[in-house]
This record gives sequence, structure tokens and C-alpha cells, in this order.
Amino acid sequence: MKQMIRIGFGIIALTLLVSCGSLNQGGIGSRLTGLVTGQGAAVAQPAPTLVPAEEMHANPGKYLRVNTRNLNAWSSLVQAAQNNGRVTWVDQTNTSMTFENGLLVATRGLVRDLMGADVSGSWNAIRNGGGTAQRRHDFLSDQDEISTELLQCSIVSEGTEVITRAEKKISTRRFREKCEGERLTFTNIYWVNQRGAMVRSLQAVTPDAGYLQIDVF
Amino acid sequence: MLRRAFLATTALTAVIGHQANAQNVDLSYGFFGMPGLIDMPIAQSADEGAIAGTVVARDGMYRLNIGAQVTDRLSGSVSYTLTDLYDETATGIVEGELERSFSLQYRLVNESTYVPAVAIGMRDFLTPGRFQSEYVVASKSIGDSLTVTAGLGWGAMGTHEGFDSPFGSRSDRPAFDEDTPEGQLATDQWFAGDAALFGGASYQINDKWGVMAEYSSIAYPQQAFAPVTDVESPYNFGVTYRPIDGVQLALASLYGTDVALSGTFVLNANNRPGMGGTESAPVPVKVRSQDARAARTWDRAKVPEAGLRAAMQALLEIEGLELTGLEITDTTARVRYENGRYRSQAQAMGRVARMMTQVMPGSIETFILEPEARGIPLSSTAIARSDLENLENRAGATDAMLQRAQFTDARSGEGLTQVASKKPAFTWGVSPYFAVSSLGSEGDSVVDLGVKLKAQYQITPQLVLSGAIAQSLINNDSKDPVVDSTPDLQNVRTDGGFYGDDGVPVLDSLMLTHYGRPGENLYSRVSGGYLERMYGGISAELLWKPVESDLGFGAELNYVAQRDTDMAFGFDEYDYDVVTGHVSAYYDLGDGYHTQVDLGRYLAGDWGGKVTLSREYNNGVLVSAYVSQTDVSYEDYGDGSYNKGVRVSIPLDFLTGSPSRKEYGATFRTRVGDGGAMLNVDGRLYDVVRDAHSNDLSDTWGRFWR
Repeated sequence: MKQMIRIGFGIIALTLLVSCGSLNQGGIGSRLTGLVTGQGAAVAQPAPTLVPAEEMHANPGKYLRVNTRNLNAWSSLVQAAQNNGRVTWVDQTNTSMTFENGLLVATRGLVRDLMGADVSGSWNAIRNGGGTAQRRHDFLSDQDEISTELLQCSIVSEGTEVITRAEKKISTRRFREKCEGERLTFTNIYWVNQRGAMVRSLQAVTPDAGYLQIDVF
Repeated sequence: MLRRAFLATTALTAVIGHQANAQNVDLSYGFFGMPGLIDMPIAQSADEGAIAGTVVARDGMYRLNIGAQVTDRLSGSVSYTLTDLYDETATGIVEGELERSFSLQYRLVNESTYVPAVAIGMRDFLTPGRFQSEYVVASKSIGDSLTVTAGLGWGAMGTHEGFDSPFGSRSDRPAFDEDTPEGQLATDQWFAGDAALFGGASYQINDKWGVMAEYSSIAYPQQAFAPVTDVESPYNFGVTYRPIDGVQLALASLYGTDVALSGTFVLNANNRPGMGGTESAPVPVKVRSQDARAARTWDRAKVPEAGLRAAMQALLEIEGLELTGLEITDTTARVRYENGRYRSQAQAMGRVARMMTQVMPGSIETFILEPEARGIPLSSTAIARSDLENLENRAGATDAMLQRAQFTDARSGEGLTQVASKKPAFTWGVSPYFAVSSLGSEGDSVVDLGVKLKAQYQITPQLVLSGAIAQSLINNDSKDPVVDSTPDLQNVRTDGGFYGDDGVPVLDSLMLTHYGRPGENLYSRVSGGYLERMYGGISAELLWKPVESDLGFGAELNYVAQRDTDMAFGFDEYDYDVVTGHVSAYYDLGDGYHTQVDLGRYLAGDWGGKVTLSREYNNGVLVSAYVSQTDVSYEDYGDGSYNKGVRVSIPLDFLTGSPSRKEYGATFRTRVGDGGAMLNVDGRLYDVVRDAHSNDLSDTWGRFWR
């Protein structure tokens, strides 16, 4: 009996390991891997194929290029939908990002998504060359609830800067926005071209998802 | 080159501040499933929602603990200990006894600058508690790394250098009457008899390494039925190591004679390893033009209904959902679907709604979403298409959508065009199984390990033939039932160890199940055949549960006969049949607490009831406890007296982040007796129905827009 139970204790984990057949989809192997490596078992994604810069330059407005800073991963996004001035872009791994006047208002498919945001004050401040604004950001919590962060932001112009992108020089005005809330503080940087459109930015998503560097082609 | 410069200049700003976290290392878990030193407790508690599994191994003793921080102040644990005990003469040794223990600790005083945390606790508080102890303990942190602890213990924790109890009226601690059935509240013993002092300290060297020392008040005296442990010194020393977050290893020297190794895995229900999840983004809402919005009707010649059905079926398939029915009028589209992918029905709903915006004609303003399970519709949620268009990606959209959604019972099938399933009617799977069941008056435990082949054939959406064949790999002693220690009571469960032990494949179950909707707010199930390992017969259940109600009522009636132990098709060996059943009440208490009360007649013909209280987190993690008692006398009941148990269940997506409706759980219970035994029939209605009702939908509504 004792021996039996000893075998039993040792074998609990093993029984969970192997399963097959159509009733057993979504097996447990990946779960164990995730726990052991502590990575939350990120699902392997196909390597995103980047759209060449020439193609992007030749089709203005058609592409975004985004660097997810936490992963140092690049991806190219195409437009998927428009809704009342908000444009949703999607990449090959089916992650989507939504922008309003170049400011990030939502993501889907990141480890901690920005579910929705009100950023109109920040855009007004950028257009006025600086100022203060209030933002509201909604996140998805670990309890599947929406956690809302109210942020007080100040936007300052940092003068002009010529940025180079795929050997093309663009003259921009650079803005820095610092936002502070109860649980969250971040600093975004924007490069706005002479027509007033955002061509590059570094924007925070959520603490777990980190920052995105966004280039608008 | 320039890009590199850009990254460098902005790198410093890319810091998102987390809330300051005072304690950056989890508390160490002791040998009883709660934060502690080694054999002694501490007064501090884990973070609310922490669930920990600890395995302790030392010569002559193995222990598995499952502990949970139930509320901010209340901790509980269940322990299974395999240990050597002294026999009734206190001279011989009985090897390998399996002891089950339940323990509780409550933090009375929070730690502050000058005041230590103070807690009161009871270990192994049910009869016959081989480790039974009660204690009051105080712990104080000094700086960030050092914690000192001192306390007063009774029972086992009052055996080293004990002195007269401070409670004069309880100066003697009665010995356990070994004839008393196991598992009753041992109130005569609590805080009675000698008390003794204990203490200790722990020091966290860095994030990974810590050391601790304790002065134990357990002397492990050599007496009848006491655990066998050699004690030469009251001092224990330990080293703890945390290789990664949530994992703790400890090596300890015990009582100057022994060495123990323990491993603890800690999860926090409030801290999901899978975070928000890794599923792909949903398809964005497709916004209608002004003209399309204004239309009163749509041209069925241009957009035929059959085409819309085919399109919806294909679109839902992308989301892992199955379209089962569709009704389209000029202004309303009603969709029935089965969600086989997302734990959150609210998330599935959000995805169906966005798919509908892709294809539904512009005049259709109202979407009605009706999730189905086992072929029956569970609820009906009406949402306005223009709300989807106006609220998408807006701050506050989740609340606004929940406010505007209308939840009702699913409407009738009239008007709905059924969509034939693309799934194969026949499905199967092979998986290993593992079970420990504790049966019999001798306290025998049966460990079983094997392979199970499951198959099911869906005759109609509501009617399913399902079965399972099991092959045990270790249970093949081919013994037959002999001694009956409770002759007045049929061995409805205690003979369980004789079932399927012939070393050949056995019929685990083979049954036909029908689900139905006999009326508004009513759900029904009828199952017939070989319903479980030990019983075959017929089981009928009716549930009343309005979609927006906190309360549900159910009734179940079964007529079953006990199967032969060879688990073939026969019912001859026992010649026992019984009418059994319950009425049940289900109530959602709010704030994540749920309760269930079952009253009725059990398998042995005894009458009684069962109360279950659960703490359910919105992310699906569940910790629950139940007790049941029936009119059978303790003498007849045998070991296990009344039944008690604790269940922990964790959804797969909590761990992996990939969408799934699977969950893994385990029930830890006292010995299974013949009294208070219920039929184990698969697919009881409340669990099928509740997640599509408004309370559960609101719990995970944060995922509607994901």
C-alpha cells in the first residue's frame, strides 16, 4: 500500500502529460512548459515577414511598422478597419492596434491589452504646440475586469528634428508627453511632420506589454 | 545607425512604474501548507488568493499540502500524510498510514510599526487528529529581511516542555477514543491540556536564498497512534531557495535526527500567469454607412438568407465557435451558437457580435445572441448594433455595453433556421487517468492509474451516446469483496476498490443522455445506461434558473442498481437497487461567493444533506469546501462519519493564456463511507447552464471587447 501511494505521488504529474484524440485538444504539455520556464507559455508565432521599406514608401498610408520594445520584435501592419476617426491596424500574427490621430487608443492580442482610451486632450495639446491633458485608459485585469487609470499629462514641444527612415529624411517637430496616474506613469514621444501628421512615435501600452515604437509610412 | 541612436536616447524613458511592492519575496511555506517556519507556524499570511501545493519528504513521512489564503485573514489547508504510527500498545510500528488533516489559521492582528502580527490556528482539527495542535502565534518583521516569531501551542504543539494550561477549566486533554469515527470536530481536545512555548526566526539573504531556525514545541512522544519521529533536540534549521517566482525549495534538519526536503508551488488567483491571454485579436467592428443605417429593410434578392447563414457559419468557425441556428428579419438577427473555445461566454459573445457586423445587412440594428450547450439554448442577450459601432475601443465601453445589453431566457426555436453541424458526429479520445480513493473501514486507499478511451456519438444536438473504456495499469489484484464492516448499510462505495481490478479493460460508462428545455427558465436532463463505475440505471434532472436570478432550484431523481465488480454489463453480484435523488438550491451570494444545498436520499438509502460553499474568482479559479451528513448512525456509517472535502480547480487558460474551456481540479476529501454517497453522473445541469446567465456573464464582461 505504502509503495503504491509513493508511486502515486510521483506519478501525478506524469498522468497529465500525454493525451491524444479529438476530445483532448488543447493538451497540457504547453502549460507545463510555460510554468517551468516561467514564460506563461507564449504561443509560438510564425516569424512576421516585414514589408520592405520601398514598398511602404511607395504606398503612403498603407502600412505601419511597429517595434514591440519588450520583445524587440518588428512587425508590419496593414489597415483592417476604420471607425469614426479611429483606425485599426493588424499584423501577420493577428495582433491589432488602433490609433486616433496617431495616438494609440487600443490593442488586442498583447499580453496586457489597452482595451480602450480617451486621448483627445493629448491630441489637442499637440496641435496647440504643447499643454496639459487628461487621459483615461482601460486595461483588462487578471480578474477579467476593466481597470481604469486616469492620467494627468503634460505635453511639451522639444523643437524640430530631422529623422531618417529607410534613407529618407523627414523634418519633424518632436513632442514629449509625460503622464502620471495612481498606478501608472509613462512618457511618450511623438514626431509630427510639417503637415501635422504623426510619422513616428514611442507610446506606452500597459506595464506588461511595455512600449511600442510606431512608424507611419 | 540613426535608429540605434534613437533607441538609446529614448531607452531611459521607457520605464513604466509599477506600484511599489513592499514585500518582493513570497513568504516561505512550512510543513502544514501555510506560510510558516519548518514545523512551526508564523502569524503572517500569504496574499489573498494565494494557492500553494507543498510536497514534504523525509524518512518515514511523506506529505502533500494544498493551502489557500481564503480571505485576507483566513488561511486553510488540507494535508495528506503518509506516515509511520505507533500501534495501540505504543511499542510496535504500523507503517505507511495515510492521514488526512484539515487546518485553519486566522490573523487576529495586523502587523504595524511596533505591534507584531498575531494569529490563532488549529492544525488537524478533526478526530482523530494525529497531528492535532492549536496555537496562538505572533510574528514581527525587523527590517526587510528578518522576521521573529514566538507562540504558545497546545496538543501536539504542547508536548515539549509543556506546562499547565493557562485555561484552568481545560487542564486535561482527553485522548482520542479510537472507536470514534474519523472526521468529527474534536472540540473536547481544542486548547485543552498542557501548553508549550515555541519560536523561531527567518532571514532572507537575497531574492533567492533564505535561512531559518526554530525551537519546536512538538516532542513526538512515543504513545499509541502517534506519528513516529525520533527527537533528540527541539531545534530545527532550514535553508530555502526560490529558483523562480512561485517555486520554493527547502532543506531542513529536523530534531537533530533527520533531514527533510520540501517543494512548494504557489499560484495567486489574482495574478494570472497567462495575463490577458494570447488569443488573436478579434475582427474589428465594420461600421455601416449613414445610408445603410437608415434603411428599413434589405434586399433578399441581392443578399439571400442562405448566403448569410453560410457566411456566418464560416466567420464563427474562424473564432472556434459553431453556428447552430439563425433568424433574420428586417431589423433583427438572432444567432444561436456553441462556444467550444472561450472560457468567458462574454468574450465569445463579443466575437460573435463583431462577426455579425461584417455581413449583416445595414437595416439590421438588433443582434440577439443565444449561446447553446449540449444542444439547448442557455440565454438570450440583445445588443444594439449602433452601440457596437459607437463604443468600440472607447474608454468606458465595457460598462456601457453591459448597461445596455438585455439578458433574458432564450427565445423559442420558432422562426430559427437550424444550421447543420460541420463537426463529426463521432468523436473519441485516449487519455491517461489517475485516481486516489480512500475506502473501507481499514482506511485502505486505492491508487489507480491507467488509460481511458472515451467516445461519443451525437445522435441529435440534444441526444448523445457516450461511453468510456478504462484499462488500469496497476490495479489488478482480482480480489473479491469479502468483509462487510457495516452490515446494516449496503457497501455502496466501500467496495469501490474491487471494481475493475481484474487486469482487463472495463466498461467505465456507456450512456444515452438527453438535454431539453421543457419550459421558460426550465432545463432538463435524462441519462440512462451505465452511468458510472459502480452504478447503472436512469437519472433525471430538472433545473429552474432564470437568466437574471441569483437563485436556482433543481431536482434529481435516479433509479440505479449496483454493477458487478468486473465492470461488464451485469447487475447480479450485489442484487442491490435504490431510488436516490436530491432537491438542490443554488445561490450566488455575490463578491465571488457561491453556495449550494442538496437535500435528499443517498445511494445507501440514507436521508440527509450537503452544503457547499465556494470562492470563485472571475478568472475561473475556484476553492470550495463541503460537508454532508445523513441520518445513518455513526456506528453504521463507519469511517468517514459525515463527509467533508475541499476542491481546488484552475482553468487551463489561467495558466497558459490560450483560450480554452478546460479546467483542472482535484477534490481532497475525508474517507469515503457508505453514508452520504451520491451518484456520480456526468453533465449535471447547473454547471452546464450558469456560465451563460447574467451573473457569470457580468463576471467576465471585461472580455466582451477582447
